[in-house]
Amino acid sequence: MKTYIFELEQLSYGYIDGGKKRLILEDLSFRFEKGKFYTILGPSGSGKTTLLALASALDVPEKGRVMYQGSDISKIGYTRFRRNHMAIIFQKYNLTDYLTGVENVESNMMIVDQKRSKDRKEIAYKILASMGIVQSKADRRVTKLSGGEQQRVAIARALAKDVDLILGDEPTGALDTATAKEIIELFQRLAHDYGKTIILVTHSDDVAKNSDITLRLQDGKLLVEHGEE
Amino acid sequence: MRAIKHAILSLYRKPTKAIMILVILLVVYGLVFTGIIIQNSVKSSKDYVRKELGAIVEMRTDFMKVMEQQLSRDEFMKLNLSVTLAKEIAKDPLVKELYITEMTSASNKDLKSAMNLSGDGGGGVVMATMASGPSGSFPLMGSNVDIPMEFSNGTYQITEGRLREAGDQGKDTLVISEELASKNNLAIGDMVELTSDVDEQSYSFEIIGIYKGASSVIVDQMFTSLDSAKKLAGTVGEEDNATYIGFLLKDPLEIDDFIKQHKNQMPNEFITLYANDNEYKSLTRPLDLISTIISILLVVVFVAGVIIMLAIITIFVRDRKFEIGLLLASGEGKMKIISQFILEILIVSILAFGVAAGASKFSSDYAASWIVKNQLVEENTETMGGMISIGIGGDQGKEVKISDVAREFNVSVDQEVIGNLLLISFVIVILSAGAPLSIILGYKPRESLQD
Repeated sequence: MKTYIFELEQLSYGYIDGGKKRLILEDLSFRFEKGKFYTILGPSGSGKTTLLALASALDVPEKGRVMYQGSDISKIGYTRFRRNHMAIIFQKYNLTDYLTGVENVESNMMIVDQKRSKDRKEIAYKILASMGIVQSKADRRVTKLSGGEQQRVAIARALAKDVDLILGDEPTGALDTATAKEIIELFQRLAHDYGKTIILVTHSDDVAKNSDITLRLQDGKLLVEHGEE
Repeated sequence: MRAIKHAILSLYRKPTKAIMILVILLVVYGLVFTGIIIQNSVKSSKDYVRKELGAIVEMRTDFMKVMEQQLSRDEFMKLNLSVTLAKEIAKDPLVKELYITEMTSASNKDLKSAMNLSGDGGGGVVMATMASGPSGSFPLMGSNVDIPMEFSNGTYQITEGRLREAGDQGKDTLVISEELASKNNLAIGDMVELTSDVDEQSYSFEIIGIYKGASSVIVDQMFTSLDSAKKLAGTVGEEDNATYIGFLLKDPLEIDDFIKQHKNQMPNEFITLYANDNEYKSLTRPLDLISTIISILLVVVFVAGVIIMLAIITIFVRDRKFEIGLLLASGEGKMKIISQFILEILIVSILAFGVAAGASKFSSDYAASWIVKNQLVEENTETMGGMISIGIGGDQGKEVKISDVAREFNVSVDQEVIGNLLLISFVIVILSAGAPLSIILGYKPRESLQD
């Protein structure tokens, strides 16, 4: 029996463009299954990032609603939803520049309501190590790390929250092929072994073909391109 | 916990903006603190003058107003100092003692005036006293208290005998100057007959004390009880017609409050409460000028400082919009983000406060020296020959010199000043940080990340 953890219900969202309203998402609905790895493809300007922003409660839909574990996230509270139920990895590395790698990872652990115990730093080092960031690098200011290393820190930061829903906007875009492959494998493990739901927006067909289900955002709607809904 | 840790790390690792805030705060705090410390010194000096001028508030006729309004003699004569009202006002806990004095004159053809040093006999003519009577008469001051004001404030001292005591109730006693005693070979225990200049009734007075300290023009002054003076003045039974009413306050610094509190009780516009204001204003005029200039500078620096700080903190917050967006995207509450920034600004302002407070002591010392040299001493020299000496109208006989004011003008930093500096610092931070930080409340995570 399928368990749906995350649902988008008749989402609509548009911009005012040249004085005219342009709907970028129109009555978009989709249900995401627990323990599955999803990728969303689509041309530039198709609304992928907007869809991710609505899904991650960074923005509010004009119509429709986002459901998490059967509850409307507006009822859960957008801030609480972001804090305790999802993690997001951005296209840009989105790290706090005056913190070290390990401090960035720790900071996400400090925000959640169910805070981890005193060994927070040790856990942060372990997560970073699993991303290929050794302790000596983890202790450097993130501005001293390469782009690929920063992206791995950003992914580690998201994983540190230990939530069931991970959203990503081109999270492997800045990584070399080998590292990107490792990260994709990690996402697969997180989905299949740990029951996390992974939803990545990507341009990469390589990333898409390694996901369980590939979706295409077209004309404001999500269509299944590959995999079983 | 995150907010505290990140606040400290942010300041330590990205100090540029914080240093800018620190520098601006140092300048603003330094100037404001110096101004406040000088203001406090001005206040202390004014308090000193007020204390030195004494704690007496007189109920008196406002002669300037009488002249302005051109009152007729009859109208003027009706202007009485009400003892009943004075006793009512004296119930104020600020009042330590109520002085009611009857000034009159009495005659004795056999007494020689001590003023008349040529010795042609036949009594003295007393100048400079309301109670001066016809030739051959002597000024007499009757007081409701055993120790008249002139003795309690040290203007006159008893050299022989004593002042009135409780046991002298109902007796006609006299305290005379040693000059008058010497001139007439009078001693303690001698009886002197005085005749009223009003109704020519004669009364026998016992000399119980001899005093010194009177200036040459008032050496004939005799002191007696209020009742005895009223007999000689022919005012027995006239309760509401004293010559002089004075309230000795417990604290000279309460004078302004006392006058403000009771001036509405005066029966008409010609009777007023007076506290040596002219002398006080003369002595404190340079201080007031300094105070006014510093107040203007304080307001300018305060407003300019707040505006500059507001601009810098706005830039400070705007510069970290992405970080704010990242925290919002991670689910951090806006109030926690604001608290982190408040903490950062507080740490910087505490540092600025410490440095500025220390530096202000030195700058205030310098400013105070300059004020004393250029404003108090030089102005004094220009206007009054360097030794301005303003008495207090003879009410208490004390003198305050502006050189004393200059000497007393010291920079003082006490707990109250520190408290004021802290309060001002807090207000500057709140005013300058409040608006920029409240902008965070309107930030949306997606927009913050996109900027």
